[in-house]
Amino acid sequence: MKFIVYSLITLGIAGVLTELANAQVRPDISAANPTAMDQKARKIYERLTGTKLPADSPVIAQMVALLNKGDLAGAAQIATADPNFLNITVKLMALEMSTRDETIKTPLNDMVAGIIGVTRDQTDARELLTGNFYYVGSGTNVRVDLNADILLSNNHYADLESTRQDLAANLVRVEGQKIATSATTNVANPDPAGVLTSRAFMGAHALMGTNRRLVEYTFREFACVPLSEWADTGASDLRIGRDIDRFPAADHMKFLTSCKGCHTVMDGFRGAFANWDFDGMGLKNATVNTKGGASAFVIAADGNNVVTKMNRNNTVFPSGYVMTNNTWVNNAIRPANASFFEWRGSTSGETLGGTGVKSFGTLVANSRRFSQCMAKRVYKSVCRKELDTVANKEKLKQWGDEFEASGYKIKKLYENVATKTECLN
Amino acid sequence: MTNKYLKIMLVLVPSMAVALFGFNNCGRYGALQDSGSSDSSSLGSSSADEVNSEKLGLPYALLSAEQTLSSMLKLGNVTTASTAVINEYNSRYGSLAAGNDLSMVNGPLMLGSTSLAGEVCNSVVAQERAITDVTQRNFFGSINFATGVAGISDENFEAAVRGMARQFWGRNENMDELTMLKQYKTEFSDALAANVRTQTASASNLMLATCAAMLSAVDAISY
Repeated sequence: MKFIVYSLITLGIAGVLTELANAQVRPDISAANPTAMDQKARKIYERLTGTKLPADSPVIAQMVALLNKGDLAGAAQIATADPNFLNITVKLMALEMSTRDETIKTPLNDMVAGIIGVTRDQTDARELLTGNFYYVGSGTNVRVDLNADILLSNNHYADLESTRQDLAANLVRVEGQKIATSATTNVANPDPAGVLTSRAFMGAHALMGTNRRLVEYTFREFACVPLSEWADTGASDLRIGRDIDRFPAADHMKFLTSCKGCHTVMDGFRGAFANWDFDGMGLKNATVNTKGGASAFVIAADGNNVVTKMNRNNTVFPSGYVMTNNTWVNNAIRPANASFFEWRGSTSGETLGGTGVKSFGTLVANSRRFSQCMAKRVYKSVCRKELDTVANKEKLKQWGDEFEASGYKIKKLYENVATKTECLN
Repeated sequence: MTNKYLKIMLVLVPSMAVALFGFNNCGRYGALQDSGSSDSSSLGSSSADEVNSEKLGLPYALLSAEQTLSSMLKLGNVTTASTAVINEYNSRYGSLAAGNDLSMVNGPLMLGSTSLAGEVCNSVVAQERAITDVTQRNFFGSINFATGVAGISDENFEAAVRGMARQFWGRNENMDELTMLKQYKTEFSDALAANVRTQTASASNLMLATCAAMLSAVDAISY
C-alpha cells in the first residue's frame, strides 16, 4: 500500500514537473541577467534534456531553490522528468550505440527503443544484455504489424520517429522476443539477450561477415573498449578459426605478434553467436529457422545448427578451430584483461565460458567494466566532453560502483553524473 | 572549340571538387562521424592536432539536428510543429549537425539553421499576431503589426529583442548585439518604399527576420 501511495505521489510530481517544463514561457524583459546559480540550474537542465531552456522558465527557480539547499539530485530529477530527457538525450546516446558507424544520424530502431524503455522504467540496465523483451509504440500512421514492420523491417520505429511520437510516454514493454519464420509467422527467440538480439544490433553486425563483429561491438558499446585495447597475443589460440591465415605474407611472426592478439579473445567469444545470422530483413537462428541454402527465412547452417559463415574459408588454415556448437570461452582472463574487465559470476566457471548469447551477455553485464562504461557513456552524453579515463580512473570506478548501488538504474546514473563537479565545470 | 572546352573544364573541375569535399554532409542519414575506425568510444587519449570540442573538454557543445528542432520549437513556445517546419527540417537535416562537436559548424549548417529558424519563427509570428490582447503576447507585446514597420519605434523593437534574447539565448542582449539588430531594422525600413512601410506585412517581415536571426545565432544552437 505504501508503495502504491509513494508511486502515485512520484508520478504526480513527475507529471507536474513535465507540465511545468512544457508550459509556455513569457520572457520578463525587465529582469536582470541570470545569476551564476540560475546559469548552473539552466546548464544542468539543458544538458540532461538536450534542449535549450529560456531564462525565465519557472523550472529554473525550482531548481535553484533545491541547489541552494544542496539538493543536487533533486534539481537533476526536475530535468529528467522532462520528456526530452528520454526523447533526446537518452535516444541520441543509444542511436550512437546502435550502428556500425556509431553515428546519431540513423533512424530510431528497436535497440534504441529498448534502451529508452529500460531507462524510463528504471529496470536493471544489465537487462540490456540479458533480457527477453522489446519495446513498441503506437500512433496514427504508425505501422504495427509484428512480422512486416518490426521483425522484418524497421518500419514501425521509423514511423514512430517520423510522426514525432513522444517516446517517453508512448513506448510499451513487450515480454518475449520473437523471430520471424515466414512473412506471417514467428516463434519465440530461443536465446534472447536484450538488445544484443535486437534487429538493429544484429543488422549492424551479423550481416554477412563471420559474426566476429558482434563480439567486437558488444565490447565496444558496452565495455567502451576497442578490440585493439583488449587484444592479447599471450592468450590461447585454440579457438581461432580456419579462415585466419597463420602465415600472412608468409610470415608466421606477423600472425603471432599482430593477428593473434585480436583473434584469441574475439574468436574465443565468437561461438556465442554460432546459431545467428541476419539476411538484410530480419534475424535468423539455426535452431528455429529452416536450414538450407541462404534465402528468405531459410538459414545456411550445418547439422549442428552452426551457421555456415562461422566455418567458411576453411582451407586458409585447415588445422584451425572448427565450430561445432554455440559454446564460448573467455580468453580475456590474463592479468591485464582480468583487472581491466573485473569479471564477476555466481561461479568462477561462469566467467570462463558458457553457451549462447545470453550467457555471453550476462558475463559482460556483470563485469565491473560494464558499469564503468555506462558511466563513461553517460558522462559524454550529458557533460558533452570525453572523460580522461587514465587521469580519472578512480572516479570512473566510483561512478560505476554508485551506478551498481542504485540497482543499475540508468536514469539515476544520469542524475548523478550531471551534477558532478567534473561535469558542471 | 578547344578553348571553349578548356574554359568549361576550368569551371567544372573546381566546382566538382567543392561539391565533393565541401558538401559531404547532405545525406538524410549517413556516417558523418569518423568513428568506425576511430577510438571515439575508446579509452584512447586525443592526439596533439585534435580539433574536437568534446575531447578538448570545452564547456560548450553544439545542438545536433534533432536537438536544434526540438529547442527551436520549445524556445518559440510552438507546441505543434507545422507541416512547413517539418518539411524544412527534413530538407535541411543533412546540413544540420550530426553530433555535438563545435567543429561541425560550417556554412551549410548555419544556412540550414537559419532556414529552419525562419519556419519556426513563421509559426511564432503567426501565433503572436493572432493574440489581439497584446498584454498576453510572449514576444511581440510591444509591436503593433497593423501600423507596419513605420509604427515600430526603437523602444518597441528593443523590447521585442530583449524578450527574444532572454528566451532564445538565456540572457539579455549586449550593447553590440542590440546595435547591430537596430541597424538592421533601419536598413530594412529604408529599403522599403514609403507606402510599403505602413503595411502590416512589413512589420511581420521585420519581426520574422529578427526572430530567425536570433533563433539561429550560435547562442541559440549551442549549450
